[in-house]
Parts: sequence; C-alpha cells; structure tokens
Amino acid sequence: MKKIVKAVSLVLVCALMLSLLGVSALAEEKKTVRMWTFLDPTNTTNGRSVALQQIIDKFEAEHPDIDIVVEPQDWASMSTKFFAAHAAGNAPDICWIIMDEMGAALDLNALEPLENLAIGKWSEEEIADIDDAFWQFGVRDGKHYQITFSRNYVTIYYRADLFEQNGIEIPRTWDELIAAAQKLTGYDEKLGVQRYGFGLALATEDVDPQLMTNMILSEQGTLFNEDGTANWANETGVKALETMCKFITEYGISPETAVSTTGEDLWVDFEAGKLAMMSGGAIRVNTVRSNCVYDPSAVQIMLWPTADGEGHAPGVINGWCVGVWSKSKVKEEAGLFLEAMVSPEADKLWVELGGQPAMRQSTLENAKEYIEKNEFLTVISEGFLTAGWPQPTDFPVSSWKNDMNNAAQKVLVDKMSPMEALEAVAQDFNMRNQ
Amino acid sequence: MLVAPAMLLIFALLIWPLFYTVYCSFFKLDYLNFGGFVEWQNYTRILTDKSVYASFGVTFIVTLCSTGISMLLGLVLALWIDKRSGIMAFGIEMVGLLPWVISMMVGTMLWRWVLNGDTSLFNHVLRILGMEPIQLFNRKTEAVVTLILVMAWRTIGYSMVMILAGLKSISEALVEAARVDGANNWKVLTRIRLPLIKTPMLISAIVLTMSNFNNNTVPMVLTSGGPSNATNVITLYLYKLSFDYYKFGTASALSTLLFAVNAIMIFFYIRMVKYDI
Amino acid sequence: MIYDATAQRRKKLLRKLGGKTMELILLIVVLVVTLLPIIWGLATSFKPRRELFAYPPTFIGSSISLEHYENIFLSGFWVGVRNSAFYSGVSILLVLVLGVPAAYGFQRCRFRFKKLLFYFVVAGIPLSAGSSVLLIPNYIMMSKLQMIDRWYTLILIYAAYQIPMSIWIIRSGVESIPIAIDEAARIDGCSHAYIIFCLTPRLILPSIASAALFTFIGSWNEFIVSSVMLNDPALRSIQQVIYYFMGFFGTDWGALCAAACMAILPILIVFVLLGKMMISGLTQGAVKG
Repeated sequence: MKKIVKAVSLVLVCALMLSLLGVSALAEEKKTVRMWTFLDPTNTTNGRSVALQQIIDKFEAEHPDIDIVVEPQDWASMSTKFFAAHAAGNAPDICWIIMDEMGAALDLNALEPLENLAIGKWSEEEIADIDDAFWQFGVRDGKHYQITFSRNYVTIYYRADLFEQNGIEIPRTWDELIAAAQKLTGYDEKLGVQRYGFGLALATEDVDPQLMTNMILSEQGTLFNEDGTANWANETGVKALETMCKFITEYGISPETAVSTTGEDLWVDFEAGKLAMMSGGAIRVNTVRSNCVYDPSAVQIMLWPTADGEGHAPGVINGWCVGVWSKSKVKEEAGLFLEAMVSPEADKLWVELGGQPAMRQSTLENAKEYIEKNEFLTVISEGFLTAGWPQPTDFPVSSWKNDMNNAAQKVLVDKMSPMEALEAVAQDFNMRNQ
Repeated sequence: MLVAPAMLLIFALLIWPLFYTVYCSFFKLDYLNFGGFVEWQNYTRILTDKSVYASFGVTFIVTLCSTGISMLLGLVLALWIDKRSGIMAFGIEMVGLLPWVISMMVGTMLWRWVLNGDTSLFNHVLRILGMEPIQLFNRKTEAVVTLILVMAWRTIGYSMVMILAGLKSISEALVEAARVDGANNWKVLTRIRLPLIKTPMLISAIVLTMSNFNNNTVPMVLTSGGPSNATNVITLYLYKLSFDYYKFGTASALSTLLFAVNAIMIFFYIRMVKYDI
Repeated sequence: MIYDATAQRRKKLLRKLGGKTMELILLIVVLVVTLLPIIWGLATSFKPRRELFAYPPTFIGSSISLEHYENIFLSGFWVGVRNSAFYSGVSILLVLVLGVPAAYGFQRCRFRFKKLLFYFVVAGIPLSAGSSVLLIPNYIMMSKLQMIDRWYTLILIYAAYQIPMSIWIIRSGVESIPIAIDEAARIDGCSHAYIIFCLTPRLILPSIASAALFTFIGSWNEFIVSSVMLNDPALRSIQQVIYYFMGFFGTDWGALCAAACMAILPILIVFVLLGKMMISGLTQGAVKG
C-alpha cells in the first residue's frame, strides 16, 4: 500500500512539474537576442559602451517582449569563435565580424541577407541615407549582409604642435612627407631621446597596414589581381617597398627597431612623444589623446599624400560588420535590433558619446556641432568618401598585411632584394589562399 | 574500478580530442568548414615546407638552451638555499617561484616593455652606465638569446623547488660519514649530493622541456616570431596557421606531428628513469 | 710561528668575507633579475595615467595614484576573483576525489590493461601542456553537448588537464607507503574505502598538497580555454578580466598591471601557507635508493 502511494505521488509531482514548465514556457513569450561584440555595455567609462547601453535601453523599452543580451568578447578571437560557433550550431544571433573576415563569413553562409529582415522594408530615402562604400561592402547577388560599425580609416597621425613649431605644412607629396619627417627627426631636449619623423611597425603579429600599402594603392588601386592572386611583385611594389625601407636605412626618419615594432608598440611610442608621425587607425584618436604625455589637442590626423600632389592615396578602411546569423531562431527580432542600432538617434549617440564617424548622411547635420568641434571626424569622412580602400570579399585574402610586413623584414633583416622578397611573400599568399 | 572515473574524464577531454584532431588532419578544413577528404595532402604540405624545418630547428635550440640554463641556475640556487634555513631561505624560495606563478602573458609583456626600444628601462640603464644602447629585438641572434633567457627566467623557480626537495631528502648521516672520511666541500657536492638528486633533476628536465616546447604565449608576446622568423617556434607557427590563416586541416596535421614529438620525449624519459608500473 | 698563524687567520677571514660579499652580490643580482618585471608592473600600477610612458622611466611617478586599482574593481575584477576561486577550488576537489583512487589503483592493484591505461595517463601530461592543440575539437564537442558557457565547463576541463600530473605525483606518494601498513589496516578490519580515502591521504599529505597546488596554479593562470569556452561575462575567470584590458581601442597598461599584480596575491598566499608541504610532496617516493 505504502509503495503504491509513493509511486502515485511521484507521478503526480512529475506531472505537476511538467505542467508548470509548460505554463512558464507559454508565459515566456519573451524572446532573447544574443549579441557578441567587444563593447561591454556595463562599462560606464567608455563612450561607445555608454552609447550601446542607451540604445539597448531604448529598444527594450519600445519592445518589452524582446530581451537583448550582450556577451562581450575578446576582439582578437571573436571572429574565430564565431566561425567555430557557426560550425557547432550555437552562434549568437548578432555578431560583430571584422571586415577582414567578411569574405570568409559569406563563404560559410553564416549571415542572413538583410533584405529578409526589417531593413528590407526601408524606403528608398532611408537606404540613400546610409548608402556609401560601407553599405556596398560585402554585397553578393545584390543582397546586403551587414552594416558597418566602428568604422576605421588608417591614415597618418601627426603632432600638430611640432608642425607648427617648425613651420611645416601638411605634405601633399611623398617627397614632402619625407622632408617634413626629416625636419622633425632629431634629439628632443624635453624627452631626452631621439625623436623620429615617421614611425613604422613591421612586426608580423598585431599588424596594421603600413605606408608601403598606400603607395601601391595609389598607383594600382588594389593589391590583388582579378583572380585573387597577389599583385605586388612588380615595379610599383618594388618602388614602394624600397622607399619604405629607405625611411630606415637612408633617410633615418624611422628607427631601426621598426623591424620588431608591433602595432601596439607604435601607439605607445607615439603617445610617449617619440614619433612625430605614424600610420594608424583614426578610431583611436580619443584614446591617444587621453594617454599622451603632451597636450592632447596636438594629436591630429591627415590624409595620405600622392606622388604628384593631386588627390590622396587611398587609406585602408576597416570596420566591424554587424550581421544576423543565418541559423538564428530569432532573426526577425535580431533584425529589428540591428535596425535600432543604426537609427538616426542611435547614430547621433555613436558620434557624440563614442567619437565615431557618422554612419548616416543625416547625422552629419544632426550632430554638426560635435563634428565641427572635432576636426578629425571631418578628415575621416572625407577619407571614406574620396580615398578609401576596403579589402575585396570576392576571394579570400587572409593575412595580406602580415605578408607586406614580412616582405619588409626580408629586405631589412635577411638583406634580400625587394623583388625577391615580394615574390616570396606573393608565393606564400597565393598558396595560402588557393 | 578505482581507476575508471579518472580515466573517463581523461579519455573524454584529452584522448578523444586527440583522435578527432588526427581525423581532421585528413580533411581540408578552412574556417572550420569541412572541405573534403584530402588524404595525406596536409601532411605532405607540412613536411615539404622548408620553413617548418627551420621552425623546428629554432624550437629545439630555444627549448634545450632555456631548459639547460634554468636547470643550472635552479641547481645553484637550490644548493645555496640548502645551506641556509629560516626566513632567508624561505624568502628566496618565494622569490624564485614568482616568475612561475605570474600570468605568462603579463610577465612576458612586462619583460618586453622593460627590454624593448630606445627608451626602455634596459637601455636607459645602459646609457647611465655609459654604454651604447642595445636593440634586442631587431637582430636575429639577440632576439633568440632574449627569448631563451625569458623562458629560462620563467622556469627557474620550478627546477629550484624540485632540486631543493631532492637535496633536503639526502640524509645528513651520509654527508657526515663522508666528511669524517676527509672529503672537502667540493667532493661532497660532486660525489654525494649530485648523484642523489639525479631523479628530481631528470623529472624537472622533462617537465620543463615539455613546458617550453609547447609554450606559444611567450614567443608570441615577446617577439611575435622574431625579426624575419628568427624566433618563430613551431607552436607559434601552429597558432598562426590556426588563428591567423584559419587552415585547421593543416593545423591538425601539425598538431598530430607535435604530439608525436612530445610522445617520443616522454618515452625517452620513462626509459631513463626506468619506472616499473 | 705566531706571525704565521695570525697571517693565516687573516687570510682565512678575508677569504670568508670576500666569499660572503660575492655571495651577497650574486644574490642581489639574482633577486633583481627575477623580480624586475614584477617590480616594474607594480610601479606602473601606481603611476598616474599620463606618466605611464614618460621618459626617462622612473619607478615612482609624481604621485602615487590608485586610479588603476579603482578602475579594475569597477570593471568586474571581483567577479573574476570569485569565479576563478570557485573554478580552482572545485577543480582541486574533483582532481583529488578522482585522482587519489586512481593513483592507488595504479600502484597497488593488478588489472588488465594497467600498463596501457597508465600510458594514456602519462600521455595526458603533454596534451594538457599544449592545450591550444585540443581546443577546437573540445569546443566543437562541448557545444554539441550544450556544455559550453556553464558554471561547470571550466571545472571539467581544468580537472581533466590536471589529473594526469596529479595521478603521477600521488602515485609516487603511494609508492612510498610500505604495503605492510595497508595489510595491517586490513587485518584491523578497515574497509577498502577507508584505506583509500582516509588512511592513505593522511600518510601522503605532502603529495596531495603538491598535486592540489599544481592544480590550483594551472587553473588560476589558465587563459586560452576560458576565453574560448565562456561567453557570459558573469562567468569570467580572472585571467579573462586581465586580458580584457587589452581592448580594441588600446591597451590600458595601468589597469593591466594593477590587475596582474592583484592576481598574483592569492597564489602567493597559498604558497606561503602550503609551500613547505609542496616541496616535500614533490619528491616523496621519487628518490630511489
């Protein structure tokens, strides 16, 4: 008798629990959208994080049935993790993928065409508002897969105070650049060390595109052939590589240590006042200004020069492509949030709180005051419009930046001839990206 | 069985992934997308690549030298501490262990900061002493030497502790007897102490060799593979293959080869110490 | 004759002093070189932000600034400490609960495939050392089983990584217990379980301490696995928190150094308390003859 009572009560309890679960499942109409990014919305000191949190708060207030969960990741491995998660079947609903890896993401069919989501319902004017090189990036078969956030433009940082002191104008040709750098290279009394006119970072990890790339782009327009093979083992490439190496060996405007300097080291050196100019992503202007040992307003950026002074050499543009996972279970909701992150109000927040270049044309008006106060934003916008080069996505181009630096190292350390070096890395590149 | 639960865990999280890696090494696996069965292609690609051999060469030099240096210094320190006792000895032990317990990445970054560049602490001190500043990461030999020294720095504490333990277990009676027989300090050292600590020395030699061989954090943070691949140790090469170039098929093949090398090293160790199971 | 004796004594004294000074100098050099980066990190963590990169490098800035320490505690440092303590602690428990019987089994019992299985255990040591090799397969497997990003994810992995080494250490410890003791206990009526779980550990406490310490260091300092396997910020380990200061917009050196220095403290404390046991535990039974 006891045993039967026990069994029955057990069954009843189970039934009760199951039904409770069922009820709670019904009550939980709330959908959760997971997003991976390197921004941490709980961080109150970083302007961009604050902007993101405000955008999330507004969205959740407008859509009480959608929950946004942000899982901040380490930016360097986030894209790899996304690919692994896509393969394993549990990727987040929205992910920030660095532009370099967009080609791979498209090849893996990891992203949902935006035409199927909220943005697909935008009117023509709205599309025109965000239509630019970034909107056109990564388009396949006429479908768009991403919106680019945290747009970056790799250009020349310079010390406006030193330029003024030495009566130097912004250089419009490569020769003028070299002359300016030579004038600024010398022993700095206040610092107690040798200051160099132009910093280079030629290590093969933590790589940012260096001067040589811009020189090649200026002549050829791209680094690759139509079929995706490398196109730098030629006269243009040799001239660019030679000139860059001469910065160290002949003109003395870059330190010998450039061979082992990583992208991160270069920032530290510039912030410490050891470099008058360097090439770096414009997105870091505010960080550099808060870390530098000299007057922050001396940190300015300029566009690249060209051989003849006409126009500007293209700067490499980069950014984070934000898209919706193709196998997400809450695609609609994710699409809505993506739309919210690029709304006019949100864009204003990104610009004013985060110091980022505007994503919409209309924001140039809305946030006019802020933009005028911060000249660098205007420089970036001009760069995007007239002199920007994003990597191609039609074919894999992984690690071309590392290859460029590798070529420089071969010339400087192994004493190879520039042509040999360029051919060697071209071979590596082609083999790797077959 | 007593052994079962532990073996289950080991199999699930260590042995099975190894087999899966071997399995993956026979496929084309870019960006984790299974491309197709390519048989031995990944292996041939590795074995015919000259830079792989160069990389192995550098790895062996760096591993053996840094293990050697840290064993030697560990021995010296342990002998030194053995003679003393109390707070001093304990203090030195703690100090010796600090490099081992600090996060590898931060420790290496700090070394890089101290050593790298015109305005580093290192060159600043050299200037104060009136010498020319040395650029440690520009030239191949200097970079390799610096890498060896930093790796040795990290592991000295471990060998010191192991050897010290061995020294402490040498019975004083033996030493007394030797002294009575007229042996001086040097003889005591070479004839009695050293032979008796052969085992802890061998243990630390093997553990340190494996730890240094498989270490990719220190080379990556310190030199990123060095000027023109001078310090591109094989684990760094593997890392680049997986996480910079996303070629997971080739990377799996290389991992399998690395594991084989590790297994050979352990085999020799077991032979040398002759454990009977 | 007297003159000779004094001269000899003087020579001996000088040699002793000379020797002692040499020792002192050597000691200072060793200390400085070993501690240099750590001292530098400590010094950096107290410098005000704008002086971090000033030249010439100084050890003390214009003022002692606690801003970096404040910053790290606001950025979730406590969460990292709490989580890492949890992961390490439970891993140690798991390793000991699984490892002690296993070590005992390998040492005392006879069963089929013993040698083969032990080779697998030994093979586990380099596999865990080169953990990045196994990372992707582990990740794929665990995410298929929905075991990613849970409170027990890291515990299982850390335990698996540390068990081979621990079995190795504890096994030598068990080896040093004469089998006569086991037999005496059996005769006295102790159950097998008692012998394995109570008697033996008490006798080889140093080995156990040493295995526990290795597990602790391995788990506390581990970074790559935690960054791949965990996404939820609330589950972050302490190394992840430190690494987070190397953000996309630049490395926050001050906070990085502050966090790294704080992260060493627990290990140091544990060492001060248990260090002696670890040293004797490492070679108990390993020195033969």
